[in-house]
This record gives sequence, C-alpha cells and structure tokens, in this order.
Amino acid sequence: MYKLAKKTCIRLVSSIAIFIIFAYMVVAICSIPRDFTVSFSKGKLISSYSLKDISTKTNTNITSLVSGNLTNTFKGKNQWEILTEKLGKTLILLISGILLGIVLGIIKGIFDSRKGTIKDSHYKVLLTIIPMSFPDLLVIAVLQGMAIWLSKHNITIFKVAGHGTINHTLLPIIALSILPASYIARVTALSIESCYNMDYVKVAMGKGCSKTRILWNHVMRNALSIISEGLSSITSLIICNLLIVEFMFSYMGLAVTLVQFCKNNDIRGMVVVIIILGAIYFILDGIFQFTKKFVFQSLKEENI
Amino acid sequence: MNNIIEVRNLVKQFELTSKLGLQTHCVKAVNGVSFDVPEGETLGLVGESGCGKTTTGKLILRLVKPTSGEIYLEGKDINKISKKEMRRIRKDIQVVFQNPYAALDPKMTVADILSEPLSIHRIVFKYDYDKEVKRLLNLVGLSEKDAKKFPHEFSGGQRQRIGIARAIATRPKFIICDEPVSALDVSVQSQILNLLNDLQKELKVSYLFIAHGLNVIRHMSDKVGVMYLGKIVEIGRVEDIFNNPMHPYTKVLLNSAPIPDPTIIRERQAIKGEVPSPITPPSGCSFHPRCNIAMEICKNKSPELIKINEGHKAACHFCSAE
Repeated sequence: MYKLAKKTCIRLVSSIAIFIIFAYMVVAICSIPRDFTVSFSKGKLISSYSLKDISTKTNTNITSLVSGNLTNTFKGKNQWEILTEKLGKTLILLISGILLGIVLGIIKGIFDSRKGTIKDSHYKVLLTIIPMSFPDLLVIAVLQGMAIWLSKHNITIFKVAGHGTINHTLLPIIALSILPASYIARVTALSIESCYNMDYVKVAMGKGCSKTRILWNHVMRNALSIISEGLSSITSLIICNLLIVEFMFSYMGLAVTLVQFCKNNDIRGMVVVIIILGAIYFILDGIFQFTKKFVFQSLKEENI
Repeated sequence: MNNIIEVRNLVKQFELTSKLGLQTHCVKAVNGVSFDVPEGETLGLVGESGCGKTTTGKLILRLVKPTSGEIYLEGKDINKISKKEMRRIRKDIQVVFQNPYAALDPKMTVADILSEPLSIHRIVFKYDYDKEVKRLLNLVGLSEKDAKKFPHEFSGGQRQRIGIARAIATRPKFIICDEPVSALDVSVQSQILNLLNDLQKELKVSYLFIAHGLNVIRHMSDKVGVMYLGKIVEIGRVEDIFNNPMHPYTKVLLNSAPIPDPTIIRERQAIKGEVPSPITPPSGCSFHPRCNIAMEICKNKSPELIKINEGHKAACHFCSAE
C-alpha cells in the first residue's frame, strides 16, 4: 500500500511539474511580440527583442495571470466570466465525445473482430479505417448535410449550427467522437483477435463455453487492459479536433473564444484558454492512467 | 474392451492462398488417420514437429472442423451432431495443453478457472463450488489456499497441475494431453507424468498422449502411434513398437533416442534429407526420399497399414514382403 501511494504521489508530482513547464512555455511563446524579427548582419544574428526583454514580459504576464488580473474585453463582460461560461460548454462536448467514442469504438471493435474465425472481413475493417482517413471538414459537412436533409423531412432533432440547447450539442458530439471511435475500434478488434489466439480461449471452447461467455469472461477481460492503453491517445485527438468542430458548428466554446481573443490581440485571454485546454488534457490523461492502473490492473509479470 | 474413441480416415486440409490471391495451395495436415483408444488406456502419438499430432487432437476436440472422416465417442459420430449437443459432449472430452503459461486465463483466479467448467456443465450445485475446487486442488497436489491466487503466482509445474485439475473437473472419459510436459523441467516432468498415471487409475479416464519424447511416450502409453507427414506409419502396443519396430521411420526414430549409458555403443542410423513440405508431399510413400531401403514401388504406390501381428500395424511395402 505504501509503495503504491508513493508511486502515485511521484506520478502526480511529475505530472504537475510537466504542466507547470507547459504553462510557462505557453506564456513565454505568447509573450513574444508580434513585431519580433530576427536578421543576419555582419555575420551575426540580431533579434528585435532580447531574451531578457521577453523573459521580463513573460514573468509580468505570469504574475498578472496568477493574481487573476485580466482586463475586461467583450461587451463589458469580465474574461473570467466568459471563460467560465465557455468552459462548461466545451466540457460537455469533450466528455460526451470521449464517452461516445469509447462506447461506439468498443462495440464496433467487437463487431469488426473475427472472433476466432479464419475468414477476414475487409468490408468491416474498411468501415473503421475510412473515417480515420477522412478530413474533419468533410465529416462535419456530411453531418450538416444529413441534418438539413432530416429537417426537410420534419426531423429536427439535430441542429445544423449554433448553441443554447441540447439539440445543438448532438452533431458536434458525434463529429468529435468519430475519429476516436475509429481508433478505439481498431485497437479493440486487434486486441480481441490477439486474445482469441491464446490457449486459454481454446481451452474455454473445448470446455463447452458459449461464444458470449468466451467473449465477455475471457476475451474482453484481457482485451480491456490493452484498450485502456489507447485511451490517452484519444484525448489528444479530440482536443485537436475541438477547434474545427466548434468553428464549423458555430458552437461558442473555448476553442472559438481562443480565435476571438487572437483576433482582438488579447494575449492574456489566449494564454488562459490554452492553459485551460492543457489542464483539461492533463486531467483527462490522469483519469485514464488511473483507470488503467487501478481498474484494469496489470499483472505482476507485466510489470517485469 | 470397449473403445472410448474411434477415429476413421480423418483428413484435414488447410488452404493457403498467396498474398495476391493468385495461387492456392493445399496443406494436408492430417491425411487419413485411423486409430482406437480403449477405455482406461493411453494411446501415445509420437512424431516430428509438423507431422499433424496436435491437429489430430484439435480435430477430436472439434476445435477444428475436419475435411472428412469420422470420430466416434462411445459409438456416436461427433462430426454429425449439433453444436448444442456437442457442448454437452465436451464434458466427456477434455484437453491439457502444452504451454502452462498460456493455457490459464491470467485475469481469473484459480477458483474461477476451476469452477467455470463446474458451472457450464452443472457438475455440482453452486453452493458446492468451493468444496469441489478444494477437492480438485488436493487431487493434483496443490493447497486449498491456492484457490484465491492468480496463475502468475505459480511455477510452470503448478500451473500444469491447475490445467490438469481443470481437465478432470468435468469428470471426463477422455483427455487429450498435448505435450503436457514439454515446457517443464525434467524433474517436474516426472511429477506431472506420475500424477497423470495416478489420476488415470483413480478416475478410469483414457488419454491421447501427444509428445515427441520417446521416453515419455514409453512411460505413459499402452499403445503407440507413430506419425509422419499427416499419416500414421506404425501403430501397436508399446512393447511391439519399442522392441520390434517395423517401419523404417520408427526404427530411425528409436535409434536416435539417446541411451543414458555411455558404455553402450551402437551404430547410428541418420535420417538423410529434410522433412518434405506438406504443400508438395512426395508421391507414393511419403518417407521414401529419406528412407535407406526405398524401392521403386515406394515412389509410385502409397503403402496401406498392414497387420504385422495382433494389434500391430505398419505402413511399409517392406513389411508386407516380410
């Protein structure tokens, strides 16, 4: 127990340290003035601003951020108010997208896997790989086209763009979940197939276990620990797609706010949004690592 | 004596397609194998790697569907029954695999592993699972406290004991032992073999013992079948095979087994050449390219199993000449 607590603490401290370094680097990069140039003269590199100027500006920005000193921007609303409002909307998209991606991915992966048979199904595999290859813009355009077609047939559950109601979140959630679902489906199918090659599955077949029992009692139990390794990857996939999804669906979340801050040259606002997105990534990654470590416990021999 | 298992002309072909799908090759892994396993006895199957021993075992278990042939369990053809009925019959046919490290589900405790077959076939009431698990563990020489442990907490020999306990949990009539001691140390091998012998006497179970170690086969078997390239080339009582081998391959196989006595000097008979590819097996007798006494007829005509004496058969043109 003591060793486990010690390992967990070390991991937590190292994650926090990495996050602090990340936050500092974000502030530092955003503190570089827009008119910063580098020229080559008389055999020397000359920059318009010295490293000392940039680091001084970085430290000033960090101090004001830590003290919560953000200037008012849009329509008299405090930046913290804006960010709190947008954060909730973005979190709804992110968490729902991740959960939907995992559920759909695992179901599709079970469907894709050969489940011990020799015959391969290229069609099923293609259905999983093709969404991974499509650009997000095309996927979003198809979803919006589908929503328009459905609305022409009086099915208005999906809203093409906008925000404010639950219906406005449905298509963005689906769009966010497609790529992670494809990734998880592929990982699930491969891990299920690797489990079906193991002797203990053949023994279970020889014992007279039904296909369902073999799948849930033997295969999925072992495959889930392999699948949990891939969960951290989908976090970065989803956060990368967030900007395109929010922009295309005119969903006023954090990523769209980041674009607005960038247009208004509001450095502090930009920094805060990027750090919040980074914090979301670290928290989600930590949750997945915890899930992998404690829920799908690896065996002692896997740690050797 | 009644036969628990009868196998008649069992054939299994695997189709291999080239990557572009232009060529299809046929591999005859098992090519017309026939044998009987009497009740309470052990039939040993011996041969080189790739001769079809394990595939024969899987065909009997119906883990692999045969291309043709019949397999009778107590007179019932198990190839012709439904999947539902086969699941019921699986209670009577069990298996112990070679690799004890891969044959146990790493995410299940020993209690879960042993109680699974009890629940599938309803061997005992649910409330008696713990009691039955403890009985099985004691039977194979393990402690009752081991029930709550995971497979990775045991040595190879202990895992094989768990595998054997799992096999006897359903009170089977027939167990296929697919090289159960190959992956174990020599000292542990003897313990497992003696355990299998004791269980056979106690539970009156029959074994199909697959191995490529002749000394192990001699110790365990009542009858021995020698396989080469998917066929049985010689079959008979263990004394007949080991004291009076008739097929050239059996003779060379027995000659190649080391004798633990340096004072005994014998003339080595080496097998020339390599094992032919099962995709393009030789015409006629499959052993003729490597046989020292091959004749013209061996290249053209495949020999049938010919009776040498009661219970002893060999597939060689030379044997019929004798």
